[in-house]
Formats: sequence, C-alpha cells, structure tokens
Amino acid sequence: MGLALVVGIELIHLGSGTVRLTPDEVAHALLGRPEQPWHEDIVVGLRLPRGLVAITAGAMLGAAGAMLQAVTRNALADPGLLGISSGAALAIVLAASWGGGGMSVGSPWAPLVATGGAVVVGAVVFWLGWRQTGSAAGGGTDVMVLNGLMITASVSALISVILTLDGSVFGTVLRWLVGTLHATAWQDWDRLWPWAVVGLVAVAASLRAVTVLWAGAEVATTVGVEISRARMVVFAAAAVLSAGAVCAVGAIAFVGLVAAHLVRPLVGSHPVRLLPMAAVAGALLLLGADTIANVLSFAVPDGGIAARASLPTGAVTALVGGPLLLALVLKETR
Amino acid sequence: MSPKAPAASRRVRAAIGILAVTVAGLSTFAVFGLAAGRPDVPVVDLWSVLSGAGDERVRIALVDLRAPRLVLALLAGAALGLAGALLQDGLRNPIAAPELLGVSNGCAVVVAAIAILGLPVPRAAVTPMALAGGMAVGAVAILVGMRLRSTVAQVLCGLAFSSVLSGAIVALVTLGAPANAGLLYQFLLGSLANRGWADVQILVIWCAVAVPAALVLARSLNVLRLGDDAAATLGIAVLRTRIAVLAVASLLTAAVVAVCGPIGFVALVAPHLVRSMLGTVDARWVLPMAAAVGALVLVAADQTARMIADPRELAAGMVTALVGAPLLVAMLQWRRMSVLS
Repeated sequence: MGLALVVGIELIHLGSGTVRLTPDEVAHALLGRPEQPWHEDIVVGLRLPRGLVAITAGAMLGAAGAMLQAVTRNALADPGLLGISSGAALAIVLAASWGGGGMSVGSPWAPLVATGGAVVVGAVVFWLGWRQTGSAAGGGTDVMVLNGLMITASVSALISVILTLDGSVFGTVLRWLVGTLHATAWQDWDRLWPWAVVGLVAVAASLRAVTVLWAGAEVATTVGVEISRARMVVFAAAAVLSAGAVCAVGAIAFVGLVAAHLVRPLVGSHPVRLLPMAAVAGALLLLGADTIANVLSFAVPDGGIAARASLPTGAVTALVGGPLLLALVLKETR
Repeated sequence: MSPKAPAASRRVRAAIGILAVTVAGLSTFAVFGLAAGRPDVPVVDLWSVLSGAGDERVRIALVDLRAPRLVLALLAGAALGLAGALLQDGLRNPIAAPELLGVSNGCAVVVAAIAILGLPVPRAAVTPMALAGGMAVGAVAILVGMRLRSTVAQVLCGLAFSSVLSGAIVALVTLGAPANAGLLYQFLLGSLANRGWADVQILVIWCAVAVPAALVLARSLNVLRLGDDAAATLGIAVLRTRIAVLAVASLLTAAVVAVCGPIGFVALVAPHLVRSMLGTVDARWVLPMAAAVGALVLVAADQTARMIADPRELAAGMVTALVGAPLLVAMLQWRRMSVLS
C-alpha cells in the first residue's frame, strides 16, 4: 500500500510545475504514449529525476532514522537532530571550498567526504552524551538531542560562514542549511543511486547488529555480539545513508524521525520489519513534502524567471516535523 | 566579622572587575570600530575627523554608519543578557534562553512577515507586534514545558516550536523574496549590518521601559529560586511573577529581534559567565552584570563579523553561534550542570 501511495504521489509530483499536467497525462507520458510530444520531455527529461531523488533520498533518511532510533534506544533520534546531516553538509561545503574545481559538490567522491563529516560530528555528539551521563548509547534521550542541537547550531554557523566567504562555488545556501530539491536533474540521480546501493548493502550488513542492539544489552551479550562494535557498525551504516541523502538533497531534518514513528504502530518495532517500512515511509514523506513545496512555489505570483520562488523542501519537513517532535518530547520525558 | 563577609567582598571585587573589563573592552572596540573599515581612519586622527576637521564624507561614515552600529550592538547585547538572566532565574532552568524557548523565532516570524509581505504596519508598531508573537510562542512553550520534569525536555519543547517557526521563516523568505540570501541570514541568524540611528531609537525606547522593569524583578527572582512552594510561603505570587518575567524578557527580545533579527547564544551564555565570575546567583548582582557582559559580547561578536573576513562581512549571529554553542557544550561538560538531573 505504501508503494502504491508513492506511485500516486509521484504522479501528482510530476504533474506540478510551470506546465500543470493531470496524473493521467503524466502516466501516458511515462508509458511512452504522451498526449502531446512535449509532455514526455517535461515529465521524463525534467521532472522525473527530482521525483526519483526524492524517493531514494527519503528512503535513505527513513532507514537511517529507524536505525539510529534502534541503536540508541532513543525515540528522538534522527540524522538531522543528532548533527549527522549538518556534519555531512559541512564536510561537502569545506571540501568544495578548499578543493576548488576538483572537489566540487558534484564530484562522485562527495558522498565519501560527506560520510566522513557525518561520522565525525555524530561521534562528537555521542561522546558528549556518554561523558555527561556515562551511558554508552550516547546519553539519555533528551540530553543527546540537546547536544545534537548545540553542535548543529555551531556547525550550521560554520557552514554559513564558509558560504558567505566563498559564495561563488555553491549557488544556494538553502541546500546546506535547510535542504531543497530545487533544480535536481538527471546527473543528480546518476550520483545518488550508486550510493543508495552502497547504503542498501550497509543496511543488509548491519541488520543483525541492529536487531541485537534493539533487543538490549543482555540479549547481545547472550548471543555473543560485542556491543560496542555492533554499535559502531550500525552508526557507520546510518552515517553512510544520511550522508548520501545529504549530498543529493541537503541537510533536510525530521524525515528520519517522522518516518520511523509513522510506521512503528503499524508493523511494530522489530528492526527487520521496521527498517524497510521506515524506508518506504521516508520516501513517501520526502516526496510528499517536495510535492507540497513545489505546488506552493508555483502558487505564488510569478516574479519572472530570475525571481522564481522555490520553497525549500526542508522548510516543509520542519513545519510537519516540529509538532511531531513536540508530541514525542511530551510523551517520552513526562 | 560575619562569615559572609569574604564572599561579599569577593562579589564586589568581581563586579568591579567585570565592569572594568566591560568598559575597557567596549572603549577599545568603540575606537577600533569607528576607525577601521573603508575608509580606514588612523586612530590618532579619529578626534579631528569627528570634530569636523577632515573630509566631511568620512565624518558622515563614522557618525551615521559606524557609530549607530556600535551603539546598537551595545544595547542589543545588554537587552539579550538581561533577557537570558530573567528567563533562567524565572524558570529555574539554567539552559533557558529566548532563542531556545521559541521566543526569538516567534518575534522573528512576525517581523519577517511584516517586512516581506509588505504589510502596512507603521515602524513603531513592529516591535509591539513582534512582542505579541514572541510572548505567544514563549507562553505556550513554557506552559507546555512546565508539565515536564526535566529542564532539558523544556528546552526540547521550545526547540520543537523553534523548528516550526524557522520553517515558516524560510518559507516566507523563499516565497516572498526569492534569491535573497541576505534576508534569510537576517531572519534566521541575526545581523547588525546597515543599521542607522532610527534603529537605535527603537531599541532605546523599549529598553527604557524594559530594563528598569527587569531590575525591579530581581528581588522576586531571588525568592523564586527557592522553589515555588517556598516562594508562595514568602508571599510571592508565583504565577504572576513568572508571567511578569516572561513579559519583560519577551519585550527585551522582541525589541532586539525587530531591529537585528534573532541573534542567538548571547542571552544563554552571558548570565552563566557572570554567575561563575561573581560566585553568586543573586539576581540583584547577576542581572546588571549580565547586561554589561552581554553588551561586550555582542559588540565584540559584531565587530569580529564585520572585520574578520574583510571585504566580505559575516552576520553577527554566525559568530555568536559559532562561539556560543561550543562554549555552552563545554560548560555543560565541565560543570555537569544540575540540568541533567
């Protein structure tokens, strides 16, 4: 059902833009029988990559959120809230600023660099929580998110500083501070999918570790899994997923948080069932958020091509995710 | 001699020290901030330029561009320092601050809406409207947060409100004024660039109301510190005092945000620096000293933002976040503040 929803929203998503198309026209264009010849150019040539990137990056963020929640046993874990996404964004921005043309944002190595940043900043947040509370999982629920908030604030400030100093390289500040799918094209998809495959392998490889950690420290010891190593494996896999998504769509928060909580009541919290469903929910969420962002952008009066409004997808996820965060804080820390 | 005397004299000495450092720092930054930039005026010529002996255009640059910015940073920093101290004591939460409780963003979203949608609001009415936005969000965040035991959870509750509001700010800027990154930084991080005496005037008027009100509250804050029950026993109307504290803190924040945007971490960090230097939590000492330290911190941050990457300029809010957030993390680490209980 989730997949059917993804397809349905994608049809609306592909129909929105300067030229509005009905889902019917979109479907015909996709199946190679366009009602007008230019429909295929618009749908397949221009809009399909954005939809595919939204679905894939959303799935990666959803899976990463579910993994982080399982491994930290923290209901508020999310790559955006724990500083992991901003770390990835900082690494990309830094590398592009120092490396010049060779290490641009579009480089195939960008996800690797981003993963490095995600791991370093994420590790700092975990370490701080561990030092404060002595809990090896990175501190209590709220302490960890507070640390993530502080670290994200300074990392985002650093990103802003670099972007201000070196404005020529990056085009948009919105992408690295808020996250947006504006101007996504086929080459973005070409860069994202290999990393998505890597992420899929990482998830498969760490599934056992996630399950054991989710079951608790006693179970892990009983079945002979070394907890600290399992934690590192899962953390690394989540960092790989988040960093790949950040490279494509920027530092979008809340998708991972919302996705896992959306499906948990439906499929339970066993990772083997939760992870795939959280990925589907993440895809649905990011695609839905981007559809909303796109429709709203085109609803505002046009100021000409140069002043074309584009609402960043990250603003929509924040508007939706904030209230959920509030509800979770109230529930978890009562 | 009473056993309290050494602590009291230490407090006096620390207070004098803080004031001396503040005055020295502020005058240094004032001279440097007036002299440096384009055109660069040698410090020795500063007086002759200001008295009208030199190029008139240079004098105008100094008097109408650089001077108001310095005064603005001083006032805004003092207001933020006070607002932070008020909220921390009033809520008995050491990590309370207007930017963490959603108050700053509540003000900012109103200011951004007025500026970007071009609402027909007279300039004098912007601050009261921002105040209404900030107080509404702050009151909801605090009322919801009061149901929570942990101070950290209260802050996360404010974070949830802040996220929604910053999403709204981003939406307003990107839809209303596309491709204007400067506005985005101004309404998300706060900046003091390109302000004039008219902006200073707004801040002066509101500070004239709010600063005395804040200082009057000091004694009640000390009693509130003892706990709600004890305070009630001692004849303090707990809820009414809290509302007054929130109102005054929001007023100070709203005035700053209306002019400079939601500059973060000054309100959070300044009171902590003051408390550890003074060795006391007595609000009658902490409030004025937090204002002094806040002023120094924001003037320093703004001048750094202005000069460090010349010819480009950073937003003051970038510098305060870059320095303030790690500082707060470090303070949480070293002191293992009781917040974690």
